[in-house]
Amino acid sequence: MAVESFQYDNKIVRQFTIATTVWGVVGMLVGLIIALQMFLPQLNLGIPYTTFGRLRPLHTNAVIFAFVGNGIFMGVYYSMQRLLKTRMFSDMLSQIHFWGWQLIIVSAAVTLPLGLTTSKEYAELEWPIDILITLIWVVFGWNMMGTILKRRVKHMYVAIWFYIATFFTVAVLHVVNSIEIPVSIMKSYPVYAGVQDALVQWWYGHNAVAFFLTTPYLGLMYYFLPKAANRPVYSYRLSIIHFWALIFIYIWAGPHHLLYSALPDWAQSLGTAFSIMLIAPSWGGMLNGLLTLRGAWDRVREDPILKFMVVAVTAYGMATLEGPALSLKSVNALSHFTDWTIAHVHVGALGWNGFLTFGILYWLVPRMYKTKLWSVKLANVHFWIGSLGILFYVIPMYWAGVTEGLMWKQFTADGFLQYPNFLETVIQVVPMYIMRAIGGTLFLLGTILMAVNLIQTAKSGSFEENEAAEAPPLPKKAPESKATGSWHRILEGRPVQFTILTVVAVLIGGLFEVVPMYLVETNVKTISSVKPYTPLELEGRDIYIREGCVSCHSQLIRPFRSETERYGEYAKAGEFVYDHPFLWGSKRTGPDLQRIGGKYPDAWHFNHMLDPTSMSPGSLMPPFPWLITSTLNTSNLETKITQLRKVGVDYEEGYEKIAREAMVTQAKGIAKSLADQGIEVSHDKEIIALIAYLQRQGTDIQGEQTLSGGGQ
Amino acid sequence: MAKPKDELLNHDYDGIQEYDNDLPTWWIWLFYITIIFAFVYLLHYHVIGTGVLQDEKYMKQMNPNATNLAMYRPPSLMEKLLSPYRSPWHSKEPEWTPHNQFAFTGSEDEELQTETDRTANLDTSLEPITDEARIAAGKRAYDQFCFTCHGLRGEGGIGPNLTDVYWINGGSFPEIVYTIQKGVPIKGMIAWERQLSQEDILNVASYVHTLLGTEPSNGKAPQGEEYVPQEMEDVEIAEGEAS
Repeated sequence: MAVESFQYDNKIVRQFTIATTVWGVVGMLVGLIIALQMFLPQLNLGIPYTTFGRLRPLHTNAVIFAFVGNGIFMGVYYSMQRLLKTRMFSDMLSQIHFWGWQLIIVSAAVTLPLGLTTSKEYAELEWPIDILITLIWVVFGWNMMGTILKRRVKHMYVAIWFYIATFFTVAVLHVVNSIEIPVSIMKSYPVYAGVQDALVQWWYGHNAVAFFLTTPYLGLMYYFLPKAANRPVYSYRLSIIHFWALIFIYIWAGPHHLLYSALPDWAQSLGTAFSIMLIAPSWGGMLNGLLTLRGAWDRVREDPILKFMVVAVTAYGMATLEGPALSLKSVNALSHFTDWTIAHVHVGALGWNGFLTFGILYWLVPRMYKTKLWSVKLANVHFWIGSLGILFYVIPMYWAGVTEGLMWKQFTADGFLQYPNFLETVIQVVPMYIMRAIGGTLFLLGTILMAVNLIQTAKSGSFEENEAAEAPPLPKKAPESKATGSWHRILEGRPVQFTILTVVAVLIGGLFEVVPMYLVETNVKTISSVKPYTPLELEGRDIYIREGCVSCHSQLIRPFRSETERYGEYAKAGEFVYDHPFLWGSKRTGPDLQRIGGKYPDAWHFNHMLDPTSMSPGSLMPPFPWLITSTLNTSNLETKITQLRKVGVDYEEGYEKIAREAMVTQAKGIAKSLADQGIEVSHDKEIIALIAYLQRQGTDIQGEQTLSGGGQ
Repeated sequence: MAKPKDELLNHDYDGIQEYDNDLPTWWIWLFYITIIFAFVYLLHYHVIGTGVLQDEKYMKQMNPNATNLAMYRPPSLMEKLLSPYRSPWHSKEPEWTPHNQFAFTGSEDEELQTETDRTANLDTSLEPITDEARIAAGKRAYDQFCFTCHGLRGEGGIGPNLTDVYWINGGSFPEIVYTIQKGVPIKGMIAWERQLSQEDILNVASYVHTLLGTEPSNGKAPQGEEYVPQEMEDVEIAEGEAS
C-alpha cells in the first residue's frame, strides 16, 4: 500500500503551550492574591476591582478555562494528530480556536473585575461571552470531528473517546446552564429560578469538573503517560469499562453539591447514590495509569516527568475517593460550606490538573524543539516545591474545614451554641489561611521555575512548525478482522456511532434529574406570602451579585438545629421561586445571609459596609466604601422588570411604569431611617438599594410562622 | 490479584501498545458493592420509605421526645403506588406539604409578642445583681456582644443610649431583662435568649444597670420615655430635702 506523506501542525500546539504556561502563572497569582486577602483584606488596596468577591471568580475561571483549558487543547492538538496519523482538519479552524479562546479569557479578565457576572460558579461570564464560548467550542469540535473523519488509523484510541465525550458534554452543559434573558449588553438573568437554577447550576458545575477537568485529562493521561513511561497500557478492557461507566454515572452526581438543602430529597439521594457508584469507574482510570508504570518504577525515581505524572494520577485517585465520601449526607453535613471543599478541589486542581500539565509540558517542549530539557535538576526542584506547596495548601485547609464544621455545630451543655458569634469561628482558622498562602506561594514559585526552564529549553532548540510524517491511507472498506472484532472494537472504527452512543450516555442522567423538576409541580411548593422583590431590592440584589458577596456568604439555612438556632428557620424551596439567579453559595467565610433581613437596623448595615470592623471587631470582610459614594444606576430598571416577568416573576402588567416611583419611595424611607440615626446619605446611592435587599432577605415567610422557634 | 498475563494486543497508536489484562478482582467487587449500595440506598429512602429524610430528621433534632413525626415524611414511591390502601402506620395527614412545618418549629411555646403579653410576662421580682464577679462577667459579655450598637460605655450609637434615664422599651430592671431576652426585632435588637443563658442575661442587665447616670461625654441624645428608678428618686428626694 502506498504511504502518504503529510505534516503535523506543531505551531498550534506551541501556541497553546505558551498560553497554558502564561495563564497558569496568572491564574495561580490571582489565587495567591485572594488567599492573602483572606487574612489581609486591605490588600484589595481599597479598590472595587481588586476586591475578593470580584477576583475569586477570576481565579477560578483563569485556572479552569485558561490554564487547564489551554492545557487540554495543547494536549489534544498534539496527541490527536499523531494518534490518527493526520494533520488537523483545518489550520484556519485551529487558529480561530486558539485566538477565539484567548479572546474569551481576556474578556473574562476584564469583565469579572468590573463586576459583570452572572454569579453562577464557573459560569460567571455574561451572555455575549457565553455566545462567544459556544461558537469557539463548536469550532474546536468541528475541527476535532473533521480530523477524526479524515484519519489514517481505523480505530480510535481511548484518548480520543475521552476527547469526544468532553466536547459533546461540555457543549450541552454550557448551553443549558447559560440560557439567560438579557437586560443589557452585559447583564442578564437566568431563565431558571431558585431550586431549578440551583439544580441546573450544580449539574453544570459538577460536570464542568467531570468533563473539563477530568475526562480530557484522562485522555491526555492515556497518551502522554505511556509515551513518557514507554510502557504498554495496562488493560484495554479496563479502558472500555471505566470510560463508559464514568461518563454515564458522572452526569447524575451533580445534586451532591446540594445535600441538606431545599432541593427535593429524591434529587439529593440520586446525587449521593451515583457519587458512590462513581468510585470504581474513577479508580479505573487511576489504576490503568499507575499499572501502566509497572516495570518503569525505577525510572520514576529518576525522571521528573514520571514523578509529576505519578503524583497527578495519585491525586486523582484521592480526590475521586474523597468526592463520593463528601457526598454521603453525614459527611456533607459537616463539610459543606467549609474550607474542606476548598481543600478537596485543590487536591484535584493542584495535584491532578496541575501536575499532569507540568509533566506533559516537560515532555512536550523538548520534543517540539528537538532538544533536551534545559535542566532536569530544576524540574526536580519544581517537583519538590510543587509537592510541598500542595501539602502546605491542603492540610491546613482540611484542618480549617473540620474546625469550622465542628465549631458551627457545637452546643453548650445548656443547649446554647458554643460559638454564637460567627466571627469566632473565622478568627480560629486564620492561622490556617496563612499557611495556605505559603503553600500557594510555593506552588506558584514552582510554576515560575518551570516557565524559566521551558523558555531556556526552547532557546536551546530549534522549532519546526510542520513536522513531517508518513502513514498509509485508510482503506475505503477495511475488512473487520474477525479475530479481534469485539463489538467495541468495531465501534471504535465508527466515530459517528461512537459519538451518538456517548451523547446518549451522558444525556440520560441530565434528563432524569432536570426534566422531572419541571414536570412535577409538587417538587417546589409555593408559599403564598413569598412575593417578588421590589424594584429597589432588585437593584440591591444586582449589587450583591456584582460585588460577589456569594463568594463568602451562603443564602441557604440547612435543616439542622445548629443552623436554625444561629440563622433562623431553614430554607424552603418555595422561598426562592423569584430568585434569578439563586444565590445559595458554596462557601461560608462569613455567616449565612438567608434571613439577615430585620436582624440589624439599617444603620448597622451602613456602618458595616463602610467598615465591617466597626460593627464586628476583627472581621475579615473588606470595606465597601464605594457603595456609599456611587449613585445607583437604575437605567435598566424597567427592562429588568419586564424581562423578569417573561421568565415567570409575578410582576403585574404595567408594573414597570410605576416601578421607578416605588423605588424612590422605598429608598427615601431607608435614607430617612439612616438620617434618624445621624447618617446623612442621599437616597439614590447604591448602599440604599443593598440595605433594602438585605433587609428583605428571608422575611417573606415570617407571616407563615408563629413567632416561636426559627426566626429570631 | 492474579498475576497479569501481559499479552500485547495488536494495537499500535503512535507507538502506544496495549495489554488486555483482566480487571483487578477487588476493583470489580468494589464496583459491584457500590452499585448495590446505591440501589439499597434509593430503596431505603424513596421506595420502601424506611429512611429518615431531612425534614423528619430535623424535627427529631428539635423535638427529641416527639412521636408523631411521620407527617414530615414525604410519601415513598411504594406508598404512592399503594395509596388506595394507605399503610396504617402512615400519618392521618392526607398530603405532605412543607407548610405544616412552620407551625411546628420551636421546642417551647411562645406567644405573639404584643404589648399586653409584654407586661404580663414580666418577672417583676427581678433585682439587679450586686455581686462584683457577676457584674464583671456581665461587662465581658457586654464588651463582646452589645458594644457595637450601644457603644463601649453605653453611650449609644446604632442602638439607644443606656446611661440616661430615657428608655424606649421600659427602664425598670425587669423590663431591661425582658428586652435583652426577647429583643425588639423590628428595631434590630436581637433576642439574646437564643445565645445567652438566663444567668448571662441577668449579668449583662446588671452591668447595664451600673452604667445608669455615668454620663459619658459622647452620649447619644435621649430616646423614649423618661423612667426614673426608685433608688434614684430616693436620692433626688434626699438631695432636695437637704438643700
